[in-house]
Amino acid sequence: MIEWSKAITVFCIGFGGVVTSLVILQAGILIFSKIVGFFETDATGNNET
Amino acid sequence: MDYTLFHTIIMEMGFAHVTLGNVFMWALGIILIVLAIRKNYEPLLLVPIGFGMLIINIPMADLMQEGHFLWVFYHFAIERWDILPPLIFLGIGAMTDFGPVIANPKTLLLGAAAQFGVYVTFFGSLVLGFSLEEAASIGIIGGADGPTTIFLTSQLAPQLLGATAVAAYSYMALVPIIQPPIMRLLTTKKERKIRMKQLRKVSKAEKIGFPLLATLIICLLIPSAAPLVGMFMVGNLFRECGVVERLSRTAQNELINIVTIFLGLCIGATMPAEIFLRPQTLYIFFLGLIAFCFSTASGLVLAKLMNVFLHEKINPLIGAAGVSAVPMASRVAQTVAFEEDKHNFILMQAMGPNVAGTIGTAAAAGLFLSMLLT
Repeated sequence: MIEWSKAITVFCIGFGGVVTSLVILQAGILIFSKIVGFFETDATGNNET
Repeated sequence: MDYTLFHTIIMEMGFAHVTLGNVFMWALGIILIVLAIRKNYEPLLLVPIGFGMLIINIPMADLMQEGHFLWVFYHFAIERWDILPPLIFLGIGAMTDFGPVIANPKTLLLGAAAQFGVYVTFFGSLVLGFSLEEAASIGIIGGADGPTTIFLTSQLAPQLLGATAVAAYSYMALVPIIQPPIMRLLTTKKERKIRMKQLRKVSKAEKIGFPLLATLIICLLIPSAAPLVGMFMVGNLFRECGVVERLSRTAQNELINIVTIFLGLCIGATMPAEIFLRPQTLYIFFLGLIAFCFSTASGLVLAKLMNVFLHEKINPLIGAAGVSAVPMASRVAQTVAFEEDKHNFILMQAMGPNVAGTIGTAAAAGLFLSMLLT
């Protein structure tokens, strides 16, 4: 007997969780890159990245 | 003359107990070895797996009996503690360059989209009568990641370990054959000719910070993925920090080679004839192919969808590289792009979703574990 409700829950949480975690990681990378870029700005004001 | 002892010796020989199933498995093991050697199909895994299949099907050798040689490695390194796949990930992390992902983070979405095939096959497996745990183990083949498949299957459905591992590594080797027709079917010539601008330079600080950031974010969200993602990222940190060169070299060479030897032998040893030669095994290979095809297609489709909203278009072929077969899937994307335009270089852009797919598959496995492991 297929537990469809559990299977659908696994799909929603599973696929949704993968997408959500990678979206959050993407946002984290963007913010982190901006912070690194800010600190790596050299004395002339040029961005080294 | 006492023939009893003579009879006992004869009956102790493997020859006296060989079955047709054993012979078939020897043939299958030899085929895998030949394909690995002649065609270079994932030789690092398929040679030890093929040999493991051969030796485990020698009657009376009993290498997988409790306390015997291969059982010890299998029981402690895979079945009980599941440490070999994370150690493989440590080595892979030390060999991976996350620069393309850092330079173009939206390619992480393509790595996520490629996991859709995992769930399509999850449902397909349920329809064919597999349990939830077995369906998850079969579905994860769609991520095209051998260590993740082994990591998940050994915990959720160890009875399927041999078949799912061989399926995963076989389809990884067949990427250049399976993916191009799907890529041509789902994209137009115009789309395949899209040129992407060169990726920006990524600083050393970004490359050092990325594994720390990824570990914190993914492991806080999905703690069950920590063994794989954590090891993946610490290996990458060894590579990028530049001050532990010998650790990085060890992870990329000696460590991963030793682990690969024992992992391959143990996986092969989980395939005695009486377990492997069942209709289930054919279903697993069929479903694994479906998973792989859908993962390829979903990455392509998302890339095309993203182009509706993006000002700077992406070549949708890089979406197919969202499966974790690094770097083969990226090379295949490049090859198909070259068919339309010999001056269109998308290899580095394709590496972004390619390595993102590895993180995505590990995340998918972690979520399966947290929902299905009792």
